[in-house]
Amino acid sequence: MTKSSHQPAVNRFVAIGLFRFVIWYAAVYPVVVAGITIGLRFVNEGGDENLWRNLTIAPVYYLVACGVVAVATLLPMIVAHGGTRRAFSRAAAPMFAGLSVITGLYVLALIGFDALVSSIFGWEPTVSGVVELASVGDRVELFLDTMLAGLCALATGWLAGIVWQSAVFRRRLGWIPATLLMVPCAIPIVAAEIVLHRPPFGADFADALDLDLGVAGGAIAALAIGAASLALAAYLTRDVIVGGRASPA
Amino acid sequence: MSAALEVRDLRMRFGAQAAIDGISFRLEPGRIHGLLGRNGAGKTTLLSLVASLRRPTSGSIRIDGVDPFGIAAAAAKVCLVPSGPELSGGLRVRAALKAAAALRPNWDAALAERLVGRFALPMKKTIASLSRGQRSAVGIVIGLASRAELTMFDEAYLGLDAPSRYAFYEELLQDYMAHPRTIVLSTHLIEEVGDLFEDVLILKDGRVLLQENAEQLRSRGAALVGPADKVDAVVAGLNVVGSRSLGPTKSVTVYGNAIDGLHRRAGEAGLQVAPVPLQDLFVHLTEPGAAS
Repeated sequence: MTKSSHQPAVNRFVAIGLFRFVIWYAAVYPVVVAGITIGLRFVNEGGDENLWRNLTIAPVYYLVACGVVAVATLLPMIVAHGGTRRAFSRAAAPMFAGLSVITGLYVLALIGFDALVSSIFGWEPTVSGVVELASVGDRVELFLDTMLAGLCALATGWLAGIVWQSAVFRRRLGWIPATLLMVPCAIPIVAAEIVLHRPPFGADFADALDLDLGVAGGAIAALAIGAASLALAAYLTRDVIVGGRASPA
Repeated sequence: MSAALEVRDLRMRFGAQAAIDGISFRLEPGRIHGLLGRNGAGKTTLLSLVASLRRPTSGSIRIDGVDPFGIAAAAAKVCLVPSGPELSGGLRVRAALKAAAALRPNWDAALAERLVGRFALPMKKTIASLSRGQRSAVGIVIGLASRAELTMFDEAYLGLDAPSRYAFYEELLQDYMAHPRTIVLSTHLIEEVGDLFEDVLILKDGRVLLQENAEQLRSRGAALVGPADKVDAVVAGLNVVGSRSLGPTKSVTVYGNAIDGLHRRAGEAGLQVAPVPLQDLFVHLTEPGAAS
């Protein structure tokens, strides 16, 4: 048994675990939102306030949960079955990167779905009230924004999972202090929202801070935040405790 | 396909409390080791450290000379079957077995399937929803079918009824004979499991009380019953680890290397020497205040 022979099994395990966690969401989310939106449209008789406005937000924040789940469920099982924390990190980091790319593409597909639903009912595609999608460049920018915010959301989830795992299993802290400790883990996604000027709050914060890095500058900054956060999460994962009965407490 | 475990000066502290207090020992490969100790002796903590669930405060753990915490080649050799479902409680039985099959390089699917049938495990239920005994059975299936070179069962029988426990012992022994590996059984049911042990490691208050070949350990203990004055005379100078009196009759348990002449002296005094069951020996040796 060598390191290289166990890594593919860990890679497959992480990939399948993440796939199972995201696939139902990816399938159900647009259907539920479409259903609610159509219902609200009929109730409000054509009002333009609807859930499609959050199209670019919810899938990104779902990735926070995805990162937590990876640490809370996949990592313990990998370690319990003879894998190392390093093997988990080696599997998780590139798969998180891939998942963020897929999320960027998914959001573009959702906008297409929004356009389809809107055309059926003769409405204007309402997501354009939140993001500008007049050109191919706008779509590329939306893809990049979503992908990079998604990467930082995954890093936030990974960090939060580690903090929770450590705080709870060290048994020094209850769940309330453990939850409070997770707040700083939100820094990557909050910072990414700001540098990317993402609606709703990132753009407001950036304006308040008078911060405008431009499209390329924002993307580079968000990429750096995501990469640094993932590296930090992988570093912290080296010593994370798994399992709950190792303490005599 | 057996791994040696070597522990050097291992310490694990939880705040001011030392769960493991500077222990060193080596478990020879290809043998069944009994890990014994009273509640809080440090057995579960030790096993969790060997299984890399957490880092020790200090000291080293080596599997065939390699630290299992960060090196996949060593980590993959270790399988800990905990007494609880905490690592996979939310999973269905089928999913837990699939996960083990995906990650365990020596997984024996046929054996797993047969054991699932023998323990009548419901594959579609979550592990957390199973009875205590069924949860233990899931751990046993995973532990045996994983065929890890160092397999450790931490009170894996909890909640199992007697027929299921005997089924476990039988399966363990069969599979061990067919596929020799290093097995650690942490247990409180010493009387029931004791015959499986080839070596015994006893922990007391986070320290190694003794490590011994099981047969040698048994041979070092003896029980003597008879009139108190005669018993006292025969065991004078020996290490008496247990003593009970009932009127003029006294029963003592002695332990140590110096009992070789006991049979002769007891015979001369008209007393009978009986072997001491491992469990009784364990009870006497681990009693608070007992001589180490």
